[in-house]
Amino acid sequence: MEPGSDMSLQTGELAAGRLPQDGMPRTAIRAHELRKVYGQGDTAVAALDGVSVDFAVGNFTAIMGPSGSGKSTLMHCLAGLDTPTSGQVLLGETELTQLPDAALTKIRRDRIGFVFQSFNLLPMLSAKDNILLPLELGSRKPDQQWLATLVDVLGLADRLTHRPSELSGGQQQRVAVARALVGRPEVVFADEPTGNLDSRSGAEVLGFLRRSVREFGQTVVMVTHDPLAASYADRVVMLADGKLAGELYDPKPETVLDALRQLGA
Amino acid sequence: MGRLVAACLAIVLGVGFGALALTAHSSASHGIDETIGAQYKGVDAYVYPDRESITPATVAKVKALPQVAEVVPSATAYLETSFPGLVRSVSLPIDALYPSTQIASPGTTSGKLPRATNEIALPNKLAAKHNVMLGQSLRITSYEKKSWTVTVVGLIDDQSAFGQGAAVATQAAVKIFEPDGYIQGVKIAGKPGTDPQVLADAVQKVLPSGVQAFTGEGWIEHEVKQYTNGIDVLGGVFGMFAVIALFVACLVIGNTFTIVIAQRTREMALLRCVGASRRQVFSSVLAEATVVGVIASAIGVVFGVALSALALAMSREFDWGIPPVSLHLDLLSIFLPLLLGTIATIAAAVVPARRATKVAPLAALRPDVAPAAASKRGVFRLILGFVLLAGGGALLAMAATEHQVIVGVAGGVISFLGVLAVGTLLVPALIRVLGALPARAGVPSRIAVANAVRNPKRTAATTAALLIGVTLISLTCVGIASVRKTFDVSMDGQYPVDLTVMTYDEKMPPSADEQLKAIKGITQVVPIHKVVVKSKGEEYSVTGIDQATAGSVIHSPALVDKLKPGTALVDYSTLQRLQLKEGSKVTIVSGKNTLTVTLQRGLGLDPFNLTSTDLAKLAPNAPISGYWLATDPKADGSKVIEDVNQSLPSLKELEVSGGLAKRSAYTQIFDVLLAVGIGLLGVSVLIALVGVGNTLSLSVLERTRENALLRAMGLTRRQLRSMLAIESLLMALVAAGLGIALGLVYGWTGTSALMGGQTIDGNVEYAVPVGLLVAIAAIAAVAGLLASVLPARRAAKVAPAGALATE
Repeated sequence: MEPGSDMSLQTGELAAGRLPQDGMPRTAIRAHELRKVYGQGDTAVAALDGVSVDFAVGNFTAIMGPSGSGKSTLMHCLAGLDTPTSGQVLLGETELTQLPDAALTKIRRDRIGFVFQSFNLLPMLSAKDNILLPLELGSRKPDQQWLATLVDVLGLADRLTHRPSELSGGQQQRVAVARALVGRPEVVFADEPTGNLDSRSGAEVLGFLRRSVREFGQTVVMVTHDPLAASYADRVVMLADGKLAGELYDPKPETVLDALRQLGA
Repeated sequence: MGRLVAACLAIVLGVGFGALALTAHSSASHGIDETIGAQYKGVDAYVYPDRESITPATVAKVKALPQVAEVVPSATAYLETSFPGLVRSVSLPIDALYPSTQIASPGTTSGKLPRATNEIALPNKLAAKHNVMLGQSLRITSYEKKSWTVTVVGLIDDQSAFGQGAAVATQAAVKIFEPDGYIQGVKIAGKPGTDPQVLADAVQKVLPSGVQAFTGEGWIEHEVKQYTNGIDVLGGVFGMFAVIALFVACLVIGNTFTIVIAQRTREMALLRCVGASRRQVFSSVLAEATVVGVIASAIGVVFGVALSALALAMSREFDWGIPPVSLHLDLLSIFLPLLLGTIATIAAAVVPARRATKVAPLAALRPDVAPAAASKRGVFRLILGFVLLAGGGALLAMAATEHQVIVGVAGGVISFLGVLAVGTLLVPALIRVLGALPARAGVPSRIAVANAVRNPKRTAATTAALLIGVTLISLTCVGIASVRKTFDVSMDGQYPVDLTVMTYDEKMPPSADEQLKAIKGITQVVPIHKVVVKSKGEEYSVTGIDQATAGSVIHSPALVDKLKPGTALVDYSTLQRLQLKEGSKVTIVSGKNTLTVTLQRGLGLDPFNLTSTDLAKLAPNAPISGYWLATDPKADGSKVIEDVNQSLPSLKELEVSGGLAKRSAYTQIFDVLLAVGIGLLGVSVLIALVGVGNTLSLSVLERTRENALLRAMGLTRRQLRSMLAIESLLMALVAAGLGIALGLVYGWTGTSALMGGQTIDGNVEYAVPVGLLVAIAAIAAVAGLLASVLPARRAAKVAPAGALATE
């Protein structure tokens, strides 16, 4: 089978799953009654206070909320970077909250992709080595055709041998996106991926993330505080004071802004 | 403060080592003062036979002086003593005991001092060795073959004596044992109120020339010097090693401060932003260094003194073959290490402190940027390094060919400074080469290699400390092994036979060779025959040895080659007696048989040696008169000699000689030198490894975000730990490899410079102590791994999420 046809097949399948009203969409990752408490006794602060939320396969979700709303904590708990105080996280069929560190590490390596706001790349590795890092950590062989497709789509072909210090901020972030996608993870988490970029580079990166969802059927969860960035997503989940505070489908910058204003009010 | 702990440890070790050396030295010197002082207690003046011996007449003249109250001549008789259980008697010195009220007599641990001529007191250790009890009788024999039976009435306290003490008997008894005994000296006590100097002057006036009078104190000083010369040399060596240890500690401290300040760049910049002057920043860093230096040095001194107290106590408890001394503290051995440690710490912090003043206030406001790799100073340093290397190398070559030790030392120091200077280039290059292998194993290893060479200056500085220690240890091992091999070859020429046993008039028992072979440490036994022959009216004792087996006991192949029928190997004095030259022929006669042989020089064998075939032509029925033995080089030489001395019980007398006594004496010296050298330098390696661990843990702090990213990407804790282990291992192995290579070069050059002028033919043997060098590399590797344990644990603890949180 040709990769192209494989892709189109996936696209079709996921296009159906993308819309919640189409029966029962498959869930990529699910949080149930998540609580995360920092500190003890009187000084205890609940960063997450009973959050239950599902993220469907092939869907691009943005998590939004004011500073301190718990959006980063939610993402860290979902991604197995942090363990919640109580509640469950289900990645596919796997319950993450009970897993020891080594198993969580393997899951991050093999089933999850990351794009961070800054410091995404290891300075001593070339762009290509950075892209292949999660695969090589797990001694997995990269799918050369998929890698070529990613490099081509992201416009990194002539940058592969460069060190991060020789790349622009936008290029660095595109390398990070390629790294997140190369292992075909079940979910890609992006934490303020455009926070350090100028608006053009930011738009490029967001465009790629959306394309990965539309064309390659990737599931993406993005934390952001920028309504414009959130407007690239299929759905926006609002968080305030560690609680779920609303949802928005097919967001536009204005509708997001409105929703945020209501939260602030 | 926590990050300075490792630097403190380096200072503690360096200072502790110095304090240990000084305390041990002062305790030993003090102990010798006390022991010798006790020996000459009550002695106001002493007469010493400098070039002429002391006659009884002289003693009488001294005694007659009005200032003199008491006179105690030191006379010693040497007698063969038969101890129960021994086959043959051993030689025992017996000192004469004089009644005296002022001058101290030897103390006893049990029993009493002899009063009658048939009584004797033995040194405690000797009595214990031979299981002699009080009241036991001993048979003693003089060289004139006169024998006496004496009773052991007391045991002399020889706890603090140097070497084997002497037995004592009454003055009258010693006079009987050896009527014309040699007087070693005369102890004199003056009448009350006599000034010792006046006394000594008065005594000197009645002494013949060549006999010298000292005051009591003057003599003690003279005697102490005899012993302390050795201790002072040892103290010097200790001191040198302490300085090396402190220097290595300096490197570690300097490195630590550099990193600490690099990490505090923002803090420093903030200080400058709010108005701190450069001078204030500088003095704040120096103040910190001073506090660290004083505290760590104080701990070091306590540690060193405690350790020397422990070592001295243990040497008292267990017999280490050294006279036990008690701990003696003086101000110097406490305050000198304290001062030097503090100064070293401050000195090491000056460069980092100056760097701290260069932090721009703006640095507080922008994110940390990695410093540029190459600066002008870096290039200058490299050029200087290569110049030093070339110059030092040239000096080394000159030292090796001209046998100039001082030039060699200079060349070594200069070229080593060169190596340190080019270290920023050399060490990362070597790490890359060595890292090529693990880098193939996977990403974590590749990252480890990349991390190890990321900051060439820091890596070079870290490895420099280890490099110094390993180089010096390797140098010591290679140098001692080479000098030893050179000695061995030269000894093989001078003393080609380890041991010879011989009897004069008695018959060797038929099983003698088996009995000898059964002794532990004896590897080869070859019989020899002796015959007395005549040539030109003079008698010569001729030795015959089997040509085929001679090679197994004669270590010099050249000599074995010369030994063949028709040739006689003779020593120089035999040539003189024969009035012949090497290569000329001589005819020797035994009874009716005659034999003509060509003379060849044969150093180190018997005076006149033939093959046993030739000897049989002269005396077909000559009995076996002795054996030549080869010994295991690893065996305890003095034990083997003692066992051989006590072997063949059917013989009354057995003469044992050969090169083994000399060989085992120097073997022991080399072993002690090697052990002391390795032990002392090991401390500097220990300090250096503290430095490696220190650098690693600071690098771990610096790379918190990187490591967190790797963990987020799926690097397991185990992979992270092994990554740091590989990084540490690479640094340790490169330092060890480079150090061993340098050690070989310096060790060989040093041997050539030191020994080239000493051997007969100017040839020097170069040894590669493979076992020791591999052990050094292995220890460095293991220690490198250990050094990474704590930093790796800390790195693995960091939660990936926390470290990645945006600021």
